[in-house]
Amino acid sequence: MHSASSLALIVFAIFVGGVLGLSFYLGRKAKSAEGYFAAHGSVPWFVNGVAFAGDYLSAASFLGICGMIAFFGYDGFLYSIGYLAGWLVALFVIAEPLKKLGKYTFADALDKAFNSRGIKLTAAISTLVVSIFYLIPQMVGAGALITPLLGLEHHWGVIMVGTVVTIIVATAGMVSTTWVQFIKGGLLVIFCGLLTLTILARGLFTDPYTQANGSGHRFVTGPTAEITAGKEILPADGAWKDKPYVRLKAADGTVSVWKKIDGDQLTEAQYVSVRTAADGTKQTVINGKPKAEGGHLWPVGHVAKLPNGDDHTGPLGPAEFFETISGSEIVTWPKEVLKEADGAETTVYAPKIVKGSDVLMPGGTPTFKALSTDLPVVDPAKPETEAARAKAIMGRLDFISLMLALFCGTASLPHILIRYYTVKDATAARKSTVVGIAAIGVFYILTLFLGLGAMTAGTIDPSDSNMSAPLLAKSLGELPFACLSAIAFTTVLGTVSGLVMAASGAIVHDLMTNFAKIQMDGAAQVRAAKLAAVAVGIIAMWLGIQFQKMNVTFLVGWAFNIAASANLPALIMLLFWKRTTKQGITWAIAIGLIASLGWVLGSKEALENVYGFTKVEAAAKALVPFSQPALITIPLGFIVLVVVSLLTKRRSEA
Amino acid sequence: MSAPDPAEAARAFNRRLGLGLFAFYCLLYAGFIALAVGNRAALAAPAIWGINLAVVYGMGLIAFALALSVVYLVAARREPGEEG
Repeated sequence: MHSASSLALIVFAIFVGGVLGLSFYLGRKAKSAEGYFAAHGSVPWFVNGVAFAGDYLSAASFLGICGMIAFFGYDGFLYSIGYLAGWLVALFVIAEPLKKLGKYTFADALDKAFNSRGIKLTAAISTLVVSIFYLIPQMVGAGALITPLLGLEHHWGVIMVGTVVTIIVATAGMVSTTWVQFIKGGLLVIFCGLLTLTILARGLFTDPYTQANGSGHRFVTGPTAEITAGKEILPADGAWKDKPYVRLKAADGTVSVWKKIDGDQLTEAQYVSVRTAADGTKQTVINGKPKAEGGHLWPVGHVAKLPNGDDHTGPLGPAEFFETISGSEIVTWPKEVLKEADGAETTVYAPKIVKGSDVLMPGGTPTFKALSTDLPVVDPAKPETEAARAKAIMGRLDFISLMLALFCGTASLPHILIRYYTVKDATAARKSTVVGIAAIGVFYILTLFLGLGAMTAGTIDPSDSNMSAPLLAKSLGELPFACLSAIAFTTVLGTVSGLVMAASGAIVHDLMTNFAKIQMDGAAQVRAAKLAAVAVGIIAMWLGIQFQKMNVTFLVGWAFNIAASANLPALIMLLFWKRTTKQGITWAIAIGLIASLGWVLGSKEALENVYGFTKVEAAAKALVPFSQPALITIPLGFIVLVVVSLLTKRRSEA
Repeated sequence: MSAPDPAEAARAFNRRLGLGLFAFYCLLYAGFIALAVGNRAALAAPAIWGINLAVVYGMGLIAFALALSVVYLVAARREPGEEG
């Protein structure tokens, strides 16, 4: 159960109010178009560099990475590695030539040499789609922050952020955005550093539930006969058939769920059961108690056994921390969804002991499970080994595809590219990128400590990985929790307002004015931009509620796939291949965008988490063999660009 | 023959330098992916201070990205008239 705390609320309100006030104050100064979009090219390089970090370390990527590490271990850190590596593509390949080309936007830069309506249209649509896809995880992240802070449901967080941003978006210009990003970027890195020091100073212990700020609930494990004594064992029928669970009904009628483990023992599990009543209302029962009457999940995640059998390590150094985790056994809480024939759905969260050495290796998430074992060898006598090998190869391709998308995606994000126009020359662009890489790199190294800290602090909500970092801060006290929530929330606000601005700019500047040639004076353009911002805001809020169950970093990964597939081939070839034509760019963006978007929406993960199919149904119905499209769709974009450019060049020369 | 434009010469040098460093980092990044895909045992083996290679290599990729970007910053040439 998540309840609001007044200290957290006060600190949160002061912080958010201060940042918003600063944003309004600085935003009032930006009057001209150049000032609005590019801060007159006058931002100092150091400020711009830290602002890069503030812009890039969206709360979504921060919450998502920590959450993924807290739930699955090392796999979340793969995103940290890939996100940072992407900055080298930006620094070494794209940044300086692009700065020479462009004015304010990605579309302006691409279209400068050609003045083509096709490029304007496709670049604007690509900006719009990437921005909206990047907005979804920010909105989901907002919900994840609001739930533990205010005790409200997820969708209220999404609606709050969406509403506030849609109201403020018209006032924010590049000057105010830059300074706000600078403050947030700096604070986020410093605060996460302090949090990491606190985790190391506290060390690891086997019973976090009874420590300060612990839940007090200790999970029971014991002999089956002892646990079931005096209780009715419910029949293992329907969806419960052949499952490793036992349902026990107590004398007062409450039902508890237990998992069978070795040695004829039972260990306490948790569950959320949702049933639709005859009158259409949904009844949710959590751990035997209706949600409306306070039924809730207990926080989880702890070390089952430390290497030397102690119950507490005391303070640890960074290397010792990893060494200790590696030699420990850790309890994680994977979920299983059971669907009854009458439509009722029960999600069971049951403890699973994993080796610490496995936690520090790739392959913990269901998506990259294939990496957790060596490639199976085919035995001609056993046909099933061939299928297992094919599955393992697909899993590996999925992983390679993700790493490629993360590597190529950063330099293809319109809202990151735009920041190169806010400094005055190439040297300043270089310096600010290096400062950005330093700040972002330090932060990403910290994510592994924060994620593993959350995994073992007994604070995880097993139903929502995105809340792991705020809940970890909560275990250290109300003040760290309030500060972390406030920093993360303002980061959501900043990122969302920047993305909504980019999307509404694409609609009004690129689509309506430049492509459709609709004549509008300045005031009409501003009105249209505000209407567009409201529309984009509403769409983003709706999507944020639909995608609630997905880890936000996984969603950010998809946005990177789409950005890299649609934009990178066009950017690279424009800068490095003289025979590129306007038709080549137009078709490369269009095909890259459609292919990657279609791939993502037809994947197993989308079918399961967005359209609501079970894991088995989703695997059977998936239209594509793995979830990350970049490995196929980035080369496809390059091929389309080269072929179309060669064809159209030949025609114009004929 | 006229002397080469100093601004163009600086840009060409920086482009070559950037692409060279980029190619080097690509190899390191690809090496990590190759190990994750094909040699799990190597990633699981302790590298330094009892920490496995997966963690050391991953953190190393982050630290090395910063080191290479600093090399680029120091070695890249300024175009005439730039103040930075």
